[in-house]
Amino acid sequence: MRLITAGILVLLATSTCALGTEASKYPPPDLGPDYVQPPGHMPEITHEIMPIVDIAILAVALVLASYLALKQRSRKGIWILGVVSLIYFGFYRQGCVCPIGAIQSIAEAIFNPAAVISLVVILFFVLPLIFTLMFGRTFCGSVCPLGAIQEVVLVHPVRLPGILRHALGLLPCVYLALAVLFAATGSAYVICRYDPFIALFRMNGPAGMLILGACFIVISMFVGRPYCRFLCPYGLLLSWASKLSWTRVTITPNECVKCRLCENACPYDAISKPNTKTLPENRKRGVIGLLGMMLLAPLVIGASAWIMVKTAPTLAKMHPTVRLSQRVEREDSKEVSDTTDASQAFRESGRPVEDLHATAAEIRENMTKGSLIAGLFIGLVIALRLIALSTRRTRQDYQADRALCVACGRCFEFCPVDPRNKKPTDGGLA
Amino acid sequence: MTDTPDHKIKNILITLVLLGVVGVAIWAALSIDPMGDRGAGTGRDHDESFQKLKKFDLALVKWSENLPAIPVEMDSPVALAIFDNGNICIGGDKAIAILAPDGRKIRRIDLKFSPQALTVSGDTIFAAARDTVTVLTADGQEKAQWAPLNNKADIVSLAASQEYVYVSDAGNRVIMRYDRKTGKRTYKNGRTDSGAFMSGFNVPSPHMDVAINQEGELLTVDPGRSKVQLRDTEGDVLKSWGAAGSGITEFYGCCNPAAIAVLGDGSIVTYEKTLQRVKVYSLQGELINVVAGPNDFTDQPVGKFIVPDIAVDPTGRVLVLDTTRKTLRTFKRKIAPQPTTGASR
Repeated sequence: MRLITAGILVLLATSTCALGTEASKYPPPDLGPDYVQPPGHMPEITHEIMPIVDIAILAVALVLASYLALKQRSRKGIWILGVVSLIYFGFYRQGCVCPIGAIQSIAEAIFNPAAVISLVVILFFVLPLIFTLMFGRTFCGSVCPLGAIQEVVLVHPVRLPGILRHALGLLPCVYLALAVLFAATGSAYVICRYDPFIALFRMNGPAGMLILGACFIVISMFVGRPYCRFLCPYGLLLSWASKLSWTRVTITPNECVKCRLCENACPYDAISKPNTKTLPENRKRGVIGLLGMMLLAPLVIGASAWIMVKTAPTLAKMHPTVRLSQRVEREDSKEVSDTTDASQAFRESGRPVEDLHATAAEIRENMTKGSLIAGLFIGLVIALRLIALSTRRTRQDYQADRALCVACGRCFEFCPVDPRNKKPTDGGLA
Repeated sequence: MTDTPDHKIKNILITLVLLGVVGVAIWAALSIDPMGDRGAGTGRDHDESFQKLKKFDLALVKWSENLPAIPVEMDSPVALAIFDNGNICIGGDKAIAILAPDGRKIRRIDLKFSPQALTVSGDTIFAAARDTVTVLTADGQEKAQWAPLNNKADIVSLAASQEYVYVSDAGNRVIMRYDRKTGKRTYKNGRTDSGAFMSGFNVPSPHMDVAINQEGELLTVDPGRSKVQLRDTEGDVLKSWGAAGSGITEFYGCCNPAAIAVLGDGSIVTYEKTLQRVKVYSLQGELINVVAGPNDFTDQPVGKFIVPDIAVDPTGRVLVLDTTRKTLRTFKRKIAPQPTTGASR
């Protein structure tokens, strides 16, 4: 499992070297038959300072976050750094570039040779991954503005039922697969389009996005980091990296005395309790359960792939060329009586309709192939989760879950063994 | 975690709030319409949305169709112009049809080319093929043919003043000025270089109308920017107005207004394609009233269609060459008709 994860991460990291050529990233608009598109040219690089500043601040923030979480164990410091990151990366830089959205640029650079990707995007994608491989998810804890805004508004945390948590925990995998699929096929950057906080950062956006952002804020007041835990595709990559990390946040700096004070401290359900009393369970039953899950795995993978392939025609509609092709088809069959600007411009371009349909068919075919791969990936992740759930590992102490812990430092102040805590308090969940 | 009744009620309330908010969030996410099902290009709701756009305050309609529509005996009528005596000139199908103001046919002038644009001044007809302007007498005698433009040219509109003929070339996205007597090109502020008289227009599709008002000033349309511009005789912009939008005061979609004409009091009549509306604006760009709304027209067919032309006759009637129905339609003010001096495109 770890080898597979490491392989995926190495592949993603090395693939960032796939820098594009000087071709146009997006096709030019169709402005009629007589409009001659002027030849494109790449403007001189103007050495803008802000991207360099962004990278420098990201690097400094990651160093500081790791220091505050691992060495200083300062919840206050982590919180303040989170607020600063929220102000800078969120409200000042308006949430772009961000590592979450960078997934799409990376995917497009891998699958589309003509796509151009900047070094800034690559660094935004890679730096948090490298830090996570070294120190755990300190990026999520206090550098990511999306995480910070959810952290700040969490006022009355409630615990979700386990089954719901596990079910929702699969969504990031689906979201990651779809985001990569759409970016790779040149259809859309869905992570950016559906970023619930971007409209809030920019104080502007479609009504739907503003409402979505407001809803996430309200949910975040009661459910800890709903976007990070149940949607964020980059969080999924970081959780895999965190499992392999060299070191990471611990609840106690010393030996755990199993006082149970931290038991309810984590609103993100990232504290695993000791299970020595519940183990060993009936070994035979455990083996049968594991075998059952392993036998189920191919079915899950197959079903997931089948569902994705079946939905491929619908997913293909995300691509503007496919939409235009469908529109033109409907107009030609007199299913609709009017035209759209896009269809009218296409017709005035004089380009044969057959060409358009052929291009759309090619995109649909690519979407079907991509959907198959995405379905296999989703199925594989679900199957591995099921297998992981059916296995039991012995835990002697209260431990921060390697994958789920976002290094927010909330649990630090509950540990009576930590010499920094003078007045340990009761757990925090309602 | 405590488990008192108060806490239970609190948790139930929180759960209900969360369920409600999740519902709203799902609705909001779906409303973002990533696949364009609601108006962006593909969906079944598009027709419904378009029908909604046709609605406007009918109290703004101050004109009525005062005559039955006159059938135009052409397969592809394209251009419309009005003589000072009110006679109507319609171009298309390698011909020009001259009609009396009441629609009676006076004569048909056969041409070697299919006219794309027409204008008249005195008893002279200026008719343009794709790249060439031909000068004709009112009874069809060819007086001159000016030097053809380049192979990118697509002449879509003509306007004649006492001195000049302005030629709108959507292919090159320029307007050129010709001396109407010599047929030679004239340049801005007396320059003699070969530059276009006016350029810088945004022309996504081939509609770029020009007209002359009573002061001899030029009115141009920058269709990609949804602007109507008043210019002096040297082409310098005096006023520019217009905004894109579906509202009745705005110009809908791409490349509108597709045609303009000038009323006797200097106000400007505009025609919009797709969401077909004929409206009257003041010279400052304020909507005065509406001549005809989308429901007065047949929806334009799918694909390429000929954009209707409009003109104003000496009695102040607005004439619309309805290229979909292939008729000439006349609209007259309902109240207080005002005398005009007959300027048209």
